[in-house]
Amino acid sequence: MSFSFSLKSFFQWPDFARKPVFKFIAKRTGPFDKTVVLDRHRVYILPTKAGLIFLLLLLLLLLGSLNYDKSLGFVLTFILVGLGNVAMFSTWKNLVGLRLRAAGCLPVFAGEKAVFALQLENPDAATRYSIAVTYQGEEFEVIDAQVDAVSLLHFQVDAPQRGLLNAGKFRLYTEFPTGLFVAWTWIDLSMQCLIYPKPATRAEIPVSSSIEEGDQAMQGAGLEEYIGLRKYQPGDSWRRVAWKAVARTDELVTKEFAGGQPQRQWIDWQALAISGTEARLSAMTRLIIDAEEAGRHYGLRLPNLEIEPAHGRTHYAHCLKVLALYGY
Amino acid sequence: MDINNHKFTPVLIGIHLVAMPMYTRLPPYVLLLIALFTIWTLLIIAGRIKQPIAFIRILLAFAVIVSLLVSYGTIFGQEPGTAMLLMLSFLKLFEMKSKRDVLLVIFLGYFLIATNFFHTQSPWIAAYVFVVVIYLTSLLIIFSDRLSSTSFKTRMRISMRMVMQAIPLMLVLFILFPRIQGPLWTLPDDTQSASTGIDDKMTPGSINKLISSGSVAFRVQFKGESPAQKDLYWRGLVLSDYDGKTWRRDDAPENFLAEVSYVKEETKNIEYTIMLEPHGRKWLYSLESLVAKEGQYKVTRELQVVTTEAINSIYSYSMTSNLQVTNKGLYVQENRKNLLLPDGLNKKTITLAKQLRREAGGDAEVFAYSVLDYFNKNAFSYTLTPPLLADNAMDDFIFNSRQGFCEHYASAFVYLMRAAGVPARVVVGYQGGTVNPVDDYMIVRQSDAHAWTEIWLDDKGWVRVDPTSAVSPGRINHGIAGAGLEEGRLPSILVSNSSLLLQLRYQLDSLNHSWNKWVVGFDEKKQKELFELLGIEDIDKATLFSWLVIAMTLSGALVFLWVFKQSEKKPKDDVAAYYYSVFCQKLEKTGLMKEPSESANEFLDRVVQGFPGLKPRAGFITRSYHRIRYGVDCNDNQKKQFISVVKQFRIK
Repeated sequence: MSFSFSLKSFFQWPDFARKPVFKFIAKRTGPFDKTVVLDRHRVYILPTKAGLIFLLLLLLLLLGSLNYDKSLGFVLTFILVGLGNVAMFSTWKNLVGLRLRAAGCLPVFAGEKAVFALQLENPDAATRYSIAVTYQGEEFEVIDAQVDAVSLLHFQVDAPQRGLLNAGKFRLYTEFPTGLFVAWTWIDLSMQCLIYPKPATRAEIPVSSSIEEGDQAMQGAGLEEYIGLRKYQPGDSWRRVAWKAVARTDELVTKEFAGGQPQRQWIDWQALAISGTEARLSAMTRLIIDAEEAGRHYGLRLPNLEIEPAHGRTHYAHCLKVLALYGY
Repeated sequence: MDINNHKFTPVLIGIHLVAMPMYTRLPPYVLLLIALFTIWTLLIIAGRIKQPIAFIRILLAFAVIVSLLVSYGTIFGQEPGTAMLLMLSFLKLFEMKSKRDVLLVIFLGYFLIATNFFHTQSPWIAAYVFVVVIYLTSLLIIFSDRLSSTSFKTRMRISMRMVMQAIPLMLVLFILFPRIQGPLWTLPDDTQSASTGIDDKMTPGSINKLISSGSVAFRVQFKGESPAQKDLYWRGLVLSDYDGKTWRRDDAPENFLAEVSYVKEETKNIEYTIMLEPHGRKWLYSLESLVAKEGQYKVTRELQVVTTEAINSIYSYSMTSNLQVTNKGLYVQENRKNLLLPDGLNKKTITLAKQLRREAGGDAEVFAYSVLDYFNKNAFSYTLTPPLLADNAMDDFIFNSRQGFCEHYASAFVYLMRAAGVPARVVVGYQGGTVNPVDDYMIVRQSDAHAWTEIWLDDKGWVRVDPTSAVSPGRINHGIAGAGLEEGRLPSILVSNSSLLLQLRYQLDSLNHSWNKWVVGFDEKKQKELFELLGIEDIDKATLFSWLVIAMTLSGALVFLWVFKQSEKKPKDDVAAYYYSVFCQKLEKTGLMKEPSESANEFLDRVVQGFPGLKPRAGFITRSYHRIRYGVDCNDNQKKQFISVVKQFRIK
């Protein structure tokens, strides 16, 4: 395996597409638009270390057969040669013909790891065993691609910065069925992951900058009057989910309160007494997280954009996305 | 990668499968260690004990070496080397930690299984090796199956399929790979592997003991008619030195003949090819008398055919003999040597010889006949169970026991001849042979082993005299089974009464013969013959090599297609689904790909959006697909239409 790792660096030179010499490689590795069939040009094959030892064994057997003039020695040697040949084709075939699709990536905060998912579709009538995915030399997952089924493979990428993270090329490889050969492919499915800004710690945010508006008297959920349970609707705060009831019924229910006006909060770029774009974005991210968790309604004011206060997962995601892509 | 204990078990079984044919050959100490290692490994697998620490492993390695030294006296050479590798693979089980260790053991297995061919290359061992190769390959699958999701059955199926797919390339290489003659190196004890058949010395009983063996000495294919039974004297060695008990080969340096042609009448020459079973000796057998040779062997003045290497595998050679020709050479040294007798022994015999010679007049030939006559008339008997002879063996035999086998008669006859001044010598080899009606070749068995004599007659040269014929003419005319010997001592194949069984045995031997001829004995000559069958004369190595490259490419392409075809969906599983997927594949070229979540109708909508021109045909295909797959009424005609529309479907 280490044998093929050394090749990795060769195939991982960036920007193949821009250098005309390497256009032929770019043609094979992508980037593709989310989906690709691993055809014969895209799958490479080389013997593993074990394969090279096997080759040595074949040489020894051939020498022995020649020297002692044993016909059946030749037969055995040549059937093993044939076996090596078949092993090469079989290993290669274990990848060729697979259909790959980008299966998305959930947004993460900068500093975390983005998890990219791949869909593997095996159109054949035979299972393709032991297909592994590696990214930058690290192996993440091994699966068997079942007959006529779609399987998922995941790999993780460090997400140091906010914005859109390009996964770039990942590597699929297999040594099945003999371990004598390794077949691999480098594919770029133009997969991207949205990376939210890294949330600032609460200590980093000046207290005064957290400007709150709305009915101060209504602060705190305890002042609202509890009137009962209703079915969970998207947008309901996770804080109001009646978890005890959920445990009983296995259905998401929300505690409903009457009379209470939820708190409203403007998270304002201008009002933050912090310098630097990234620091501000980080602070705002923290404020959004806190506001969402607290069940408040919050709005966003950016130099070029304003988002009306609301709450819920969709609003939360929207706000964070705006921050993530600020300035793009 | 760490490996679980449960993966050990198949490897342990694998090593035992490899070692199985060797068990009978391995010395007891080695077997004992193997048993110990096996139990030990089983306990490790069961989780009762841990893998032994390095110190213990070193001790065990010492135990292995000591057991080999005790059993063989050395650790080098074929037998001890093989045993050593076998023990090492057992030892390796104790320190198996990574996939690499296991692969090493499997590769050792592939290598060790080949060492069986030193001992036998029968079709049976070939079949066994084939099975073991399939099993060892399935072990490779265990260790490349990362999720351990394959069952034993699946692994065996994959492995069997791969070995089958390996056969075309194997055949091509086997037939076309250039062979070389002679060894590249020899190990010190290579020639010590067991010798069978006729020995290079003869004592009373040495041929006798071969008679009960039904095993084949060699098989002969005659070009044309095979000679009569009584003329089938397969000459092996000439024994001239007698010490009173044992006849030996002349230990003087061998004098080779540059040419052996004494041919007068070409028409009476007999051409034949012999497939000699390995006998571990350095000589060949030929029909008397050899007149022409071809091949890598030499012929001595006594017409012995000798090789430089011991015959340790099936050896095929062609010869030409002529029944009428006799060896005319008598050299001074030979003359003297073939008159020698041990001093002071068998005085009565010497007196008898002189008396008979006097009675016969001066003529050596008449004298020889009178000796044969003497055997014939004096109640000498031909038996497989002669009594032991006293110190003066000849006296005891001629005047007392009068029971003997061919070696007794040959040695007594030569003794009498020499005592009366006629140069004489013993010849050992085989006499007779049975024709296999299945394939029309001749089988010569160990039970046909025989000893006869040659005497020098000044006007005729060396003349063959077989004293056994004077005692038991049936032996010479009808073979050993017709000699009236005790049947219980003869190999069962010779005395079998069941014609069905006999037929079966001939069939089996015929299979063996073809196997030996085309597989075991396949060499440069056979390669040439094969190409001559194709009309290509005198193929040289370069041409052979280019043929090899072409054939390898072709068979490689064939296997490639085979590998790629095997897992494609078979139409018979689900005709509609298969041809619908063909339709989808054709559309893939346009960039339209059916999502797994998409229904056929939804996909059709997308297709029509992108390519309105495809609407009629794509629509028909989608509707037919639904009807065939899910509809109740659907006749074959509709299916055929669907298939043909899919097949003709093109995207402009």
